[in-house]
Amino acid sequence: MINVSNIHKTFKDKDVLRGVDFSIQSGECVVVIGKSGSGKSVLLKHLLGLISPDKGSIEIDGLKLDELTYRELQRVRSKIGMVFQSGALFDSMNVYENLKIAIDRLTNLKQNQIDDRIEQCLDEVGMKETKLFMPSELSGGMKKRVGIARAISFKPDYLFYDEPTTGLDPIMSDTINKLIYKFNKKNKITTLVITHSMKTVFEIADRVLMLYDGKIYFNGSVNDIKNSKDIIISSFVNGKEILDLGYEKQ
Amino acid sequence: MLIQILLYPFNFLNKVFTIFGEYVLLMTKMFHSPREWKDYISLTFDQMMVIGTKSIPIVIITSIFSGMVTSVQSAYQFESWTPTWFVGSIVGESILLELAPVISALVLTGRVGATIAAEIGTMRVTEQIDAIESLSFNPVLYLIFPRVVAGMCMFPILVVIASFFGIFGGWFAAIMTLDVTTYDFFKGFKTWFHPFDAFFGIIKSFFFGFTITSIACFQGYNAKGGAQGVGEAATVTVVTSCVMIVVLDYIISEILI
Repeated sequence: MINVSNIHKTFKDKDVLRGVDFSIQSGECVVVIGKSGSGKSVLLKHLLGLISPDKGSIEIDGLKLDELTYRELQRVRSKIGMVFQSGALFDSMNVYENLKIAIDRLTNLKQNQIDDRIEQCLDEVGMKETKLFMPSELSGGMKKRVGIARAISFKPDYLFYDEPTTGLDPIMSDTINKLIYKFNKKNKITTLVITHSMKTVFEIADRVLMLYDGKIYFNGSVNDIKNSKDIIISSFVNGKEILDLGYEKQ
Repeated sequence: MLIQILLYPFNFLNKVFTIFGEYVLLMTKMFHSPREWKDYISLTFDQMMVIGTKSIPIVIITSIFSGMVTSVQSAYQFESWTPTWFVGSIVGESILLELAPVISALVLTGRVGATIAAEIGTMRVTEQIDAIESLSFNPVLYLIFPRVVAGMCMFPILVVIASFFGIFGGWFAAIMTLDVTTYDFFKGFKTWFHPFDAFFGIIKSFFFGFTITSIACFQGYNAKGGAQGVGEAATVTVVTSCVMIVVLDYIISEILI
């Protein structure tokens, strides 16, 4: 379970987070939406312990991240699989090595078991044939799928996704959404997804959080957000600019 | 505007000290957990290959020509009133004390320093360092420790190679283009040779190795933005390292000689 209490973060006089509160139950799939620059990725980095909040606290499985030693923080991180926006595959390693390094580090499997695990994870994301490819030989969608395979390879309790469908064609986006849904429901992995895509929200979310003006503006179900009459929420959901910019397609 | 001009030196110094403080903090992080060092030994050997072995050809080429030019120019300065066997002593002392360590360090700043800064900088801006951290690795030990240790181990070896080929280049130029025999050249070389001279270059190269790799790692690790940030990290690495090499060269010479 994850508990976020009243976190604040300021970068160079800009208040990015101004008192964010929420919690995520085990097995839940929570999607965080919000405009570009609203602090979604910053929030995610706080949950990974990559950034410390100026104020407030984050608890994962009852452990407050700001009270942990570096070693204890590493132990918490070992329960979290992270899928980065660009995949963040290691350039100097092929797909097999990208998965092997994670499994080697975070499990006690033997070499033959590691090989089996890699085969299985790549198969799950439909990337078995790219085992020996270098990241530079993969398309954006393929990189994200390998990134997902790496994130699930050590069987984490939590999976965090940073804009998993950004920059992908609609079919690939659908594939990624289905994978996120599968790992959440089949493997019971608690999931947090940061996205702009309302299609992703509608397809995978158990609960939706909307970040606006540094705070959680909305916290509710998919149906609630769909039916919301609030102008800020409905403009985001329907992709409509509130301001009149002076032109409209006829 | 005038106030800004007047304050510029103070702001500049403030920035320099801030960056130096951040650099020291990053370097000390390497020594926080010596128990974990063993996990990164194999990466250190990989880096020794990249930093050391792959730099041998460029070190050989530059040192041969450094030796040759020293030989030709010293003979030119001696003109007719100095015995030509002096060429051997000038080449030997110049190569061992100064040219092999310093020219090699300057060349390796470009080959090794810029490469490390660009590589780690690219990893920073493409979130690969965040990925390393999310996989419970310590990024300082994973990325910086192996490169700095490899630099400190391999630079002295490269300087030994550079010294050998520098003297070889000097001898070759002397017998081919000057009126100097092999016997005369090595007679001159032995006349003013002190065993400490050979160690002096090696000691310098140890510090140069640390300086170049640590500055490169620091710049790459703190790279911001995209391609421009990576390019800037590589440029700052080369400029800062070159300045630090000549400064350190003087300080070490002052202390040890």
